[in-house]
Amino acid sequence: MNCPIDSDTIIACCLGELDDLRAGEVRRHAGSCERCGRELRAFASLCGALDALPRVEPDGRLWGAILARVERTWPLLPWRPAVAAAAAAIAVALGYVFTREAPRPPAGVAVEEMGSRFAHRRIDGGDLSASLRTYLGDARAFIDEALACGGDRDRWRALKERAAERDMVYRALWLRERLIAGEGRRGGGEEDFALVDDLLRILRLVSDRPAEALAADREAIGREIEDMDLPRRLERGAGW
Amino acid sequence: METGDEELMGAVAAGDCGALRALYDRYRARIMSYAFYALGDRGRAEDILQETFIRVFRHAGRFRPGERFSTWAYAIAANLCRDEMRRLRRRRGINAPVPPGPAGERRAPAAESPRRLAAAGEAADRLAAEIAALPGEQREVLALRFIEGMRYAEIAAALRIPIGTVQSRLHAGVRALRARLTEFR
Repeated sequence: MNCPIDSDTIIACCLGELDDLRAGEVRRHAGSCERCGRELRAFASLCGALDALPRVEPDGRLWGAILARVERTWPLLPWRPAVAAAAAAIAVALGYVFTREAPRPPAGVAVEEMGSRFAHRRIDGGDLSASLRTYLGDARAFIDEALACGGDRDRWRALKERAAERDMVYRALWLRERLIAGEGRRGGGEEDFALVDDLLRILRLVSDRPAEALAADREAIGREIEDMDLPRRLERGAGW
Repeated sequence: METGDEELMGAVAAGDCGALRALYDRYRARIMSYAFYALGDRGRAEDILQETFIRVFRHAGRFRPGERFSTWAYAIAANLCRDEMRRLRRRRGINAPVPPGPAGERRAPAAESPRRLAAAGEAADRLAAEIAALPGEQREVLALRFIEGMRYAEIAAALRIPIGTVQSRLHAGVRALRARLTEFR
């Protein structure tokens, strides 16, 4: 009953946290104490099983998807750094001339990338609510079309092109970063974040896969959209 | 001799996709396994792995000489996993990503083939399922300690938490697993 070793010490022993001297003491004690001996064997066996858990390999096609996204983001390889820097400088200048108040870059996106996009894309300025409303309108059209594409590869292809043209993924990332930074609308910030984050998952799915694969996986995509309850949430979100 | 991570990162910062591929090949199973055991879902783990390497490429210029690539990359993956956990909490209103199945049983991590897990042993299957049912902060520490074999200081650096917190979460996780798995009583 008055055992000098507690279970935290036994766990520490099994996890290798104790020095040799202390670990030796715990083991010697466990050899003569039935309760501690049982605890030590159980935790040691559990730690052994945890150590033996298998590693998990990703799908072999994942690298292709990463490379496609990298190349889409950086089509200027191998002269990228110099050209991107020049593009960023021009774009920032243009942004200043036309808007006088360029939106600040999101934390997770390279400044060069923002700059190159400002040159030919309009992103709503400081008003996050207006950006969200515009975006949710686009997102509703996107989700409605994704649910209607069915097995028609051409429709999927057109949807992918339209999403790329309208920078759907990028704008979602931008909004998401701002919402993470706590710039959400009063009372709606959490819901906005969850909605944009869920949209991002579907957008990535559509952007990263070829139209043929999307047509084949239409049911799974539809289920994912329904599971997230996106049509209803978008309808509600646009009215906030 | 194998090119070091730091040297590869220098090449990645200059836009070399081959260097990014070399890092991906070196770390893909490690980061994938961390995300898999932290989130309990194969599809989401692949999303995390993909996004981690996109960010490694985008932010390669921020990588400082002398920094360890593994710690830097795990910090990115850990942030993404936490975002995902927050998202899941909001959607499901629970901490664990894997809800209890019928008759008190817990499902194996979603989207992973049961046959595949069975190949690694039934005990591993049950263990993986129980890890998936732990709170997120315990799962991520267990994954880094046992799957990645990281030291406490490395885990603390990757997750940006104190070493004492690493230790307490690890103890709590191990204790909870033992309580749930009859073979370790």
